[in-house]
Amino acid sequence: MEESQSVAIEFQKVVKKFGNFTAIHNANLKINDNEFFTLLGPSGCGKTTLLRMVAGFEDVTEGNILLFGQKFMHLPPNKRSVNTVFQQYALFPHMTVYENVAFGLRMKGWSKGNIDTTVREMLDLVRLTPFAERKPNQLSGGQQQRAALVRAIAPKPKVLLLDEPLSALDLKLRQAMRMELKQLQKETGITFVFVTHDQEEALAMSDRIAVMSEGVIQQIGKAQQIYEGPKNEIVAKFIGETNILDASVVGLNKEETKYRIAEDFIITGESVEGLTKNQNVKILLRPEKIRITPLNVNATALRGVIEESMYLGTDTEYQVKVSGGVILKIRDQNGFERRELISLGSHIGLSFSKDSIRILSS
Amino acid sequence: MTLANSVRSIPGFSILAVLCLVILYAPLLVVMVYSFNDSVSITIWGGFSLRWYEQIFFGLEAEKFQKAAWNSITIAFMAAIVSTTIAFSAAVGVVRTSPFKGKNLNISLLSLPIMVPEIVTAVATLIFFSMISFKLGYTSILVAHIVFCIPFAYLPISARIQSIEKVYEEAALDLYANRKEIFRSILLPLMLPGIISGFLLAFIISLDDFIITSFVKGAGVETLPTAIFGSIKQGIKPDIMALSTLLLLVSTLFVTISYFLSRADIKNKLN
Repeated sequence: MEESQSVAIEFQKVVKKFGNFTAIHNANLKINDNEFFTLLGPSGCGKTTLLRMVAGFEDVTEGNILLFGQKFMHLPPNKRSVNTVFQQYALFPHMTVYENVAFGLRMKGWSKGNIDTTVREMLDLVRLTPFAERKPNQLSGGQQQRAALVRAIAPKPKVLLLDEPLSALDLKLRQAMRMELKQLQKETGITFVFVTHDQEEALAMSDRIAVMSEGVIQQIGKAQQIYEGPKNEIVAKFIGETNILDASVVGLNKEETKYRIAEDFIITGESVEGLTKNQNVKILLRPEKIRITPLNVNATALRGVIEESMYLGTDTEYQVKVSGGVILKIRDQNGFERRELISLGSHIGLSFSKDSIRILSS
Repeated sequence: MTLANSVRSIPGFSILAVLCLVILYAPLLVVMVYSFNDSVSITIWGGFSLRWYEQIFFGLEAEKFQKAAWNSITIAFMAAIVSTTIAFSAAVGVVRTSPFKGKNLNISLLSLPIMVPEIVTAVATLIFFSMISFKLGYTSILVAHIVFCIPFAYLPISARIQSIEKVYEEAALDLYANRKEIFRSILLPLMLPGIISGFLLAFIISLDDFIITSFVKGAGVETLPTAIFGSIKQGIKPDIMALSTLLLLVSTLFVTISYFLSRADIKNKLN
């Protein structure tokens, strides 16, 4: 982490227990100021618990959380300058959109004039000005979402916490809201901590992502780092489609490493430090990194038989049986060259570059 | 075909439905129509007249009925206010707290009195009053009404409070509101329809109670139901029908208000 960036939130050895169940195991995490940071993981992985501890709805069993270097765990939620966008929006049903957005400012004791200026500014920002006098139940899902968003932004929190705010919207709206959220983060300069189980959402919006599973932060990094270089099997499986192969190291030198997956199924990757001969490893090979080639091009190329195919529009997914009975998933893009689907049972050749092979730590 | 439609297609369905409605409402209709009867007889129609209404307001028994009506309304009003307040506190205490030992028992105990035969409650209340030498009269009626109205007020209030999701409270807390403000600006407005329903229900239950009232009223103090019963003992007179019609009108009004309140509520929730 660069020294020049100030840290908005720092989790220090945070442990959270509910009775005998440990929801968070020793979480260490620094979220930078003005960052769009995503906590990504399947439901029940503890990501929402982390968020709720920052908001103040859950206490910390062990460890500490700092807000811009300051201790704040002793403060009740209404004394913390962080705001939350709730999954179900939680707009107050008996108040108008205007009153909802004004609520936090009123509670903070702002003057009437100040409140009015800010609320109008906020409603303008998300194009809700014509709906100011409506009750939440008279708004569409997307409008409710935007109202909940500016209600949380209006008091100018130091950090905005977003708890799966897009999960209730339909696909088209969700995609449009991604752009809007990203823009809003840039415009306001507020640190966003976004919780989601949707990997696509995480990859599309985040400056950095923390992948969580079973209460453990598995990996922290930029979208590309996480996708291209997942640290372990959990991360690899959670983000994107994968082929994970059990292999043993059969040859290694300065340029390359050879792995045996089955009797006559040996592949070559870049050299990796710390490997020893005969070591058992897990290899990650993303389906879109494998290319289907005609059989006769390269005699030494890997061969396989198409077992299944699934046409997905932008690409087609094939399941290919290669030697040793291993099944590989392959994503073939239906792109520039128009291509017929390859029929089941066809024999094909396969190729991939050395650098698309990744070793996963167990 | 939906289930409702298939039921509707059974032969004789509409006849049966109309018959049920007639059985339900015919006695009430008879009372209402004959309250405008000019004849002294309660069974022979003698033309339209408002004389029985005049009678209950200005006739021989007018003073007695007015006094009884005044007692009924003031007791119902005070009993409803006090029992709603108690029921509200109980509901907040039971529903809005984390589970404690005996929470379910508490909920059952609060609603159980509705199922106790009223005559038993009446006898028990009377025995209790005489044990503590409480003088029977206006105050004893009021106290008894307050007590038996509590479970009726409790039901709609606790149902409403239960339906308020905790996330609103969290959202308010997140937006810098303190406990007092959360209660004032968020919880109370959301609970209000339930509180009004509870109040109206308690008011109606108190207004038309007869059994308990007749046990604990003591001599000389009457509410409308006991006054009507007292009059009827000397034979049914048309003015009683006029009085009953007015009472029916008040009840209908309250039930209607309560209905529209809960409907607005459901509409809010559906959206």
